[in-house]
Amino acid sequence: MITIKLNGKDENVKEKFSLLKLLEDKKIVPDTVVVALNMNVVNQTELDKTFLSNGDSVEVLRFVAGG
Amino acid sequence: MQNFYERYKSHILLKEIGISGQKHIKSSSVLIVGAGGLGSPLALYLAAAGVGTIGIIDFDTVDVSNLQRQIIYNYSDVGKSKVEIAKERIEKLNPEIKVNAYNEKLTSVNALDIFKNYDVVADAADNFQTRYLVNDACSLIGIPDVWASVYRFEGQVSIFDSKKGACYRCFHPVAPKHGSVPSCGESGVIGAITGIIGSIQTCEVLKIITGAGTPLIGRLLYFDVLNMLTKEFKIKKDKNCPLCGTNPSIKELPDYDEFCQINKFAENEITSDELKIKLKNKKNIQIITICEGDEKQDLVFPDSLIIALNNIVFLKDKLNTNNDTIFVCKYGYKSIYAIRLLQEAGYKGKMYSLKGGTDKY
Repeated sequence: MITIKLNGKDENVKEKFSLLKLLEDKKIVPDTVVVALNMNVVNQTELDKTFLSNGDSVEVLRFVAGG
Repeated sequence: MQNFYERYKSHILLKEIGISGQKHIKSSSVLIVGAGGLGSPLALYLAAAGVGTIGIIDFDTVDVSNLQRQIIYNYSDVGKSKVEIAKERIEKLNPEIKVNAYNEKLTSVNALDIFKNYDVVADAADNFQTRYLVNDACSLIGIPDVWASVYRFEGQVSIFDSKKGACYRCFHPVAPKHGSVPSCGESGVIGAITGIIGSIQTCEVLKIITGAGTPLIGRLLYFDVLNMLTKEFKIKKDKNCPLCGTNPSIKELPDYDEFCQINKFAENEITSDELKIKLKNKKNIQIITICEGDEKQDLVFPDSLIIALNNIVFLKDKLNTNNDTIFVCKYGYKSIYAIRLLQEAGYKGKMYSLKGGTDKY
C-alpha cells in the first residue's frame, strides 16, 4: 500500500494504481472532472497510464461550464 | 483628449498600463460570449476600462431568476433581450465606446465571421458546446480565449491561446456526456462568485491587451469561496491535440451538438402532456425518480422507485423489459443520462425521460 493525498485527505491505495482506477474506485465519471497530479492537470487520455507514487497529491475538480 | 486623461487617470498612473497602455485599450476590441453572470461584470468593467469596441453575443431574454447574479440588469428588464439591455447600459456608462449587440445564438456557421472582428474573446457561456466552439474558433483565427466558469461556490479561470500554450481541448479533450454535469440553474451558484470570477476574467483581458504582468496562459486558477482558498494548476499543451497539436484534424468548425451528444436521446424524451396521457391509460408503466439525498422532500411521484444516479446500473436486472420505464428528475438532464447508462449497460426495454423534468410537470 502507498499513501497519497486526494483533495487534501490521506488515502491508502495499492501499488501500481492508476489515476483512472482511483476515479473508478470513487465512482467518479472521468469526463466530468479535471484531475491534477501534483498540481499538473493530467490529460484525460493519460489517466490510465499515470500511476500513483507514495506521497502524490491528487486534486479532482469538477469540469464545469456555468457562466 | 482631456477627458481621456481625466477619465482613465487611475489606469494611467499604473506604470504597467500608462498612457500607451490606455491607448491600446481604447483601440482594442473584445467579444463577450454570453451575457449572464460572468458576462455582466465583464461588460461593465470592460466598458468602464475604455475598451474601444465591445461585442456581446447572447440570444436569451432576462429572466427574474437571473437577477440574483446578473448585475447588469434591473427588475424592469425582465422579458427583454439581454444584449440590447447590456448595450444600452454600458453605452450610458461610457458613451465613447462602440458596442455591437448580437442577439443570436453562436453557432459553427456564424462564429468565425463574428470572431474575426475582435482581438480577444471572453468566454462567459453556460454550456459545453459553446465552450468548445469558442475555443476552436479562437484557435483557428489565432486569438486568445479568456475562459472562466462557475459552479456552486467555485470558479475556474484560464486563458486558452493555442499560439502560446494549451487550448481548451488540451485541457479537456473529451466533452462530458450530456446531462452528466449539472448547469448553474440545476446545481445552484452563489451570485457573488460570478462577480469575482468575471472580474478576474476582465483583468486577464486587460493584461493581454496591454501586455501587463503574467497572463494565465497554461495555468488554471481555481477559486473556492466556501473555504476561501485558491489553487493553481499547470495545463500542458497536448502534442496530440486534434485542434492545435502537431498533426491537427480539426480544420473547420464541427457540429458541437453532435460532439457533446446533445440530440442523441431526443427520441427518448416525453413531454408532461404525453406522460399524463400515458398515466391515464396506466398500462405497463414504471416510473423511476432519480434524485440525490437532499431533493427527496419535494417528490412529484412519491410512489415511484427512488434511486440515485450512482446506482442506476443496478436497475438493469430489476426492470421489466416488457414495461415502459419513465425516468424523471428535477430538470430532465439526469434522467437522460440514466437512459444512456442503462443502454450502455445493455438494458433492452423501452425507456423515456420526462422533458424539462418534474420542475415543469
